[in-house]
Amino acid sequence: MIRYLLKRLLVAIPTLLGITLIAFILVKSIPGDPTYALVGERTSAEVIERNRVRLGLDRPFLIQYGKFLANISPLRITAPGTEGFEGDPAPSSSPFKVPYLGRSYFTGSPVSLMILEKLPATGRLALGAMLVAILFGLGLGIVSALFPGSFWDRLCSLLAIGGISIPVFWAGLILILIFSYHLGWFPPSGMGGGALIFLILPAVTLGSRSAAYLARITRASMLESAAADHVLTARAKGLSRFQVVSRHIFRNSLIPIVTLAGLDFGSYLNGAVLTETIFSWDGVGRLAMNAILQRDYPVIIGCVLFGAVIFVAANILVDLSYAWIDPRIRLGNGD
Amino acid sequence: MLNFLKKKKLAAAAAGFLVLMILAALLAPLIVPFDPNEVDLDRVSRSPSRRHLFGTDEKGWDIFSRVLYGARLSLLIGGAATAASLVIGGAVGLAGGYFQGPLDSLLQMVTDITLAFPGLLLAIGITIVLPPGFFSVLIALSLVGWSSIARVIRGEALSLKQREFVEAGRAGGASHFKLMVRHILPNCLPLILVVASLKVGSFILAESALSFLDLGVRPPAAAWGFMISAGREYLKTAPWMTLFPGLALALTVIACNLLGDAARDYLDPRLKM
Repeated sequence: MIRYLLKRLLVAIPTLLGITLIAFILVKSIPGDPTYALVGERTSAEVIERNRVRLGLDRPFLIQYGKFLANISPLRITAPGTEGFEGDPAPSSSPFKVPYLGRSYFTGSPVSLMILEKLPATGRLALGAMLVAILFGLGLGIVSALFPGSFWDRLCSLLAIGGISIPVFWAGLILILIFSYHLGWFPPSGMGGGALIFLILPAVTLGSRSAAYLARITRASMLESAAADHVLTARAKGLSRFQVVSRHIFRNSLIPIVTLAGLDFGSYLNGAVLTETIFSWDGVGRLAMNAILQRDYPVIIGCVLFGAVIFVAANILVDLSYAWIDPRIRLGNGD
Repeated sequence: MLNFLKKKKLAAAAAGFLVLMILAALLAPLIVPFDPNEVDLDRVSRSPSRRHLFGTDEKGWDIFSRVLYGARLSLLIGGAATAASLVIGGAVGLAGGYFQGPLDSLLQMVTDITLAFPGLLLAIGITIVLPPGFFSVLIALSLVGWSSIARVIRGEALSLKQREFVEAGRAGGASHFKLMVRHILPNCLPLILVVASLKVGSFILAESALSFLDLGVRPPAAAWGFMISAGREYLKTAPWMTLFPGLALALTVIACNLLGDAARDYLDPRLKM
């Protein structure tokens, strides 16, 4: 199991390097000279040149990229030209630090701290959405698979197509229109200091797309494993329908379900940008949105990089959960 | 194919809707009742009526006319981004699957890295560093969208390469290029068609999300995402500003996905999920 874990982590390294390279290229392509953003445009050429040297912008591309990597690494790497940043909550003696993603053009505070500060709110929203996705997705999928071709099956399929196709931001607005403005059941926006009632509409909005995907894959995967020989055996030896479905069909359908669920949860930050904007939910997504509106480039790219890292982490977790679901993978002969 | 559509009424309805939408988009300048960019302060925020089918917005723009013009943009971007990512993804997938070896490993690494980004976030990252406009959106969507196509086509090319007819072509002295383009590519076509039809809908969605975030084409050009975001402020007093562009968007994407699903069932049942 440990070997499997290490192998998975090693495989992630080139991907992470590639992601950081893309993020770095994005940083380098930001329109305008970053020194101007720092010192303003009404500065003498000499001051600008001095700041360019101080920021290391006169060094070769690879060296600049290396410095970027050292800055965003969670390990404390002291290389010439790297800067620690004030306000890092980690003690300077520890081998770890908070990754440094640059500073906001507007508030001047470190981007990583801004993201960390908003993370709990987004986490709560994501958990709520996950719950919605699993509850509705698995529910609809299982009902469809148990009665294929029935009215319920067709209704579920149609709901699933709708869930995949309807834009998140529009669905959110329509939910507000119906459930907040017309029926008055839920508050239209804000976080209400953590009250659960404020979470419901945003969680349904963010989770509906995943629910639709999950329902589709659950249905297909269960129908496929229901056709396997061992299911016939289980039925022939007189197991109850519940046992056959839960132990023989459902468990064997789990791999594709978990894959899709994991990957989808990893991309929640995509939807969070839109959902949080609509519901004025004060999380990472709204931070990104406000940064987009202000063209606060370091914050935007910080959020993009953060989202990609979360996505890769979700990928690894998915792989690890395979080992838990399917012992053949854990024992090392499933490559 | 016609028989198939007869059996699948839903897919037929979707196809009909899309044809209607494409016609409306093509003929928009002839059929719109009002100039989509004509500001008329005498008719600000009117609710839907016989004169203004979908109502008017806060600038006095006729929403029905703008929804039609929005269809032009959405369908054009959806189609163009699909074509561009098919070219990139197809070339990468074919080359990787055909040559294998180190080239394949390299191409697969690039594909995996692109796939490792949550799509919308990467598209946001790309659009903010480009000058705003139609082509930035197109470039961003294609740079994000090619990777999943490359992966599917690589798998297909890998298996087709082993088949006898490719072997025969090679024995006949065909060049690598000819083998790839004349022998392998045509046999990938059903798969490509399915992937493409499912991709159009997702590109249309992504474009609307970008323009909702104010990263799409610049107003006054009509884009559904932007219209929805403009309607947000007036959701309580003028909900039609949000309702109709969103309905057009949702129905178009649903139709694309229904059609894609049907194409998959018809052409390549193996892909069924």
